[in-house]
Amino acid sequence: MVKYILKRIFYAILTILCIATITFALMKALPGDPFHNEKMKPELRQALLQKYGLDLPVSQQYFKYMNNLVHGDLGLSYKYVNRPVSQVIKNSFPKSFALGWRAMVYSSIFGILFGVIAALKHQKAPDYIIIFISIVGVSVPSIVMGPLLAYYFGVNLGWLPVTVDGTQISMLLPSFTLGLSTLAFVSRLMRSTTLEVLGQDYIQTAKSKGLPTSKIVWRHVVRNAIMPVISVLGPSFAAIITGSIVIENVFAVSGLGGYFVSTITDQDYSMTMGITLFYAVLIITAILLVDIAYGLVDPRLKITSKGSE
Amino acid sequence: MDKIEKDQFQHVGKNLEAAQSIKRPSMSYLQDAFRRLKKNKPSIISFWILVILIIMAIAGPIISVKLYGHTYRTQTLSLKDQTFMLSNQRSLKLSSNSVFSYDRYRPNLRKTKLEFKKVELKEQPGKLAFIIGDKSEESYQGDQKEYRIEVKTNSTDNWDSIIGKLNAESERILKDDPDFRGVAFKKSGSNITIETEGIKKFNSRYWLGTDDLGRDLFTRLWEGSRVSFMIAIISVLFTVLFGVVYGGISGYVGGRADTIMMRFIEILMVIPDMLYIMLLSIVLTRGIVTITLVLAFTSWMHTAILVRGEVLRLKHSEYVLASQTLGANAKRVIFRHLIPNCMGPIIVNMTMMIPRMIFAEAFLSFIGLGVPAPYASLGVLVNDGAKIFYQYPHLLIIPSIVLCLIMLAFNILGDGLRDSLDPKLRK
Repeated sequence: MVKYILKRIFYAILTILCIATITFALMKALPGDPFHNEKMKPELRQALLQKYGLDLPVSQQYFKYMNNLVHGDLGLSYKYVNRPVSQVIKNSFPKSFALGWRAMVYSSIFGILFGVIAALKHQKAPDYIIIFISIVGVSVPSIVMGPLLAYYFGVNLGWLPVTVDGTQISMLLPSFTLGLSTLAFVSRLMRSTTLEVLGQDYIQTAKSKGLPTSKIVWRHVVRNAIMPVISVLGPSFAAIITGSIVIENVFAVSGLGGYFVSTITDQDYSMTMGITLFYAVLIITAILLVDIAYGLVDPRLKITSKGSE
Repeated sequence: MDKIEKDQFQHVGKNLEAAQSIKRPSMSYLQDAFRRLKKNKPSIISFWILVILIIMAIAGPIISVKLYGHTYRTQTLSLKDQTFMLSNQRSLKLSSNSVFSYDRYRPNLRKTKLEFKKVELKEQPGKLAFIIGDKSEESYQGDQKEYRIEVKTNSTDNWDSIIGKLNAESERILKDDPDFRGVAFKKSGSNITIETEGIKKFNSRYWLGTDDLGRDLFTRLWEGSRVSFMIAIISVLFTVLFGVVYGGISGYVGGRADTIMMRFIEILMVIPDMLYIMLLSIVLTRGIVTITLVLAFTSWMHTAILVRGEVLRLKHSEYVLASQTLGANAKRVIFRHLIPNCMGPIIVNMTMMIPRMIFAEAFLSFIGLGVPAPYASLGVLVNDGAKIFYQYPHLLIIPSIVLCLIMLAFNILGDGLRDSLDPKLRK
């Protein structure tokens, strides 16, 4: 088990180094340099290049970049003077996180619930309704769902606020839209794993022992069926993080995702790269943690890893 | 019960010909799968929806060029923001009101109809005036006339008499100038509806209306679908091509090569694909080709893993051994024997990947890294529509419907294909 965890951590660090290197290479591959301007005086240009460390040879720049990265310094914005990337992240990420955790919690809880209900009522009305919801959730992209919900509930009916001002109710629409695809995905997966578990012999045994249905469902079915769902929570987290880039733009949240899009339109590439790197590290860490937790929780994995040693 | 004697039986002999004859046509794996797919109604419906959408994506732009000369980039600024219905109703504005109070006030899109909710009369003499028509409204009316209806009320008036006065005033203006076309005042319950009259007709020149730059939505919609389909299908083809080669080699060769190739994929897979799609799109020049390549480059790993698994499962089969014994080299065994035998999962994988590609393209366009401006794609159209959604909902809703239909149809078809290509489910 320890060996497995160490191996996973090693790979995660390797991946992050890879991404950082790719990011650096891409920054260097961008056409032109950020301070290319014909009207600019050569001395001024030189001073700017020096300030951003762009006058050094590429190999030295790389090591400096990596060194800064290890110390949590993601560099400065090329567009706005003296605005460090890490400062922007520190200011705007909490707002994104406020939406993200809500979306994550509601979509996994309801997804699991829907999946179990659909499987228990297999090929009956609730099953078909939940299948329909999950297909729609997968097929209607958030860039469509967001504006439509905002228009219908926010403008037409006037029930919910369209922009996020920090209150609980204003987070309802964006978090709902953000978690919809995860909800669909989780409920689909939970449905199929529950169906699989329901066909197992031990469920038959539990039934013939005369256990009440609620006990069978909670003690035997859900506990066994939930395992594969836990393992996809990491990738779901990634989906919610990238999804928030769109959602924050639609609902005018001043979070990191919304800021990220504006850096692309501003062509503030050092900022874009820095935020991308931050996202990547965040997602990789989340996937790593989920996988380790999964390994710790699932008894089957423990047995097989012992057997192989 | 009687005893059965041996002489009661008669030997009929063997009919060798009948025993050998094949009563039913033999079925290949794919034929069988197709037969099962045909029984799955939602899949077949999705299939035909996709066929229709693809035909429209090819034919739509051609139709509108041939009929009206619209292309995805021709602009007629004076004809912007039309919907699929045209009317010559005039717009309406409340210019002064000291007669009634109201709770909510709702104009429709072009302000040809005003609704006042929960109105209450004020008990005092007052003045009520509306301005009808607008001097800047050329695109709908064809003229630039402005009229004013004004009535004065006194404290004895009730709703009926006020509406009577307003209607009489509007008739009077209509008699002077038939171009006015009339206004209708109605009261139902505590709501008042005021609508200008005119002729509504189908927009025969711009079937789905125009966008904010006066470009035909019908043309742009199908042109955009074509671009989206093209990006998705070509990138999926590239993905599958690369994934099959990579996975096939990795699975067939095995050993250390397999381990290294799979480790490489594992590292690539941990990187969230959306992020490096974005990184690559920033660095490369924007365009349809770039997006296709970037999407293909970032999603072949799943196919490779899938193909590797299938190849590992199949590579110890008898037909592979036979082929090897007859002297076939690795290339021949992989591409002539192994790959054709794992076509089923590959096809399902392709079908499920197309909607993901379309979504990825829409996502890129939404954040401004997609298909560059005058070109259209579904993502571009949805993004443009979302910006002016409150004023002109049709610009968002129509492309969204097509986008959702494509994704829905591919997802349902993929589900159906997976069920019908799975030999375990054969009945």
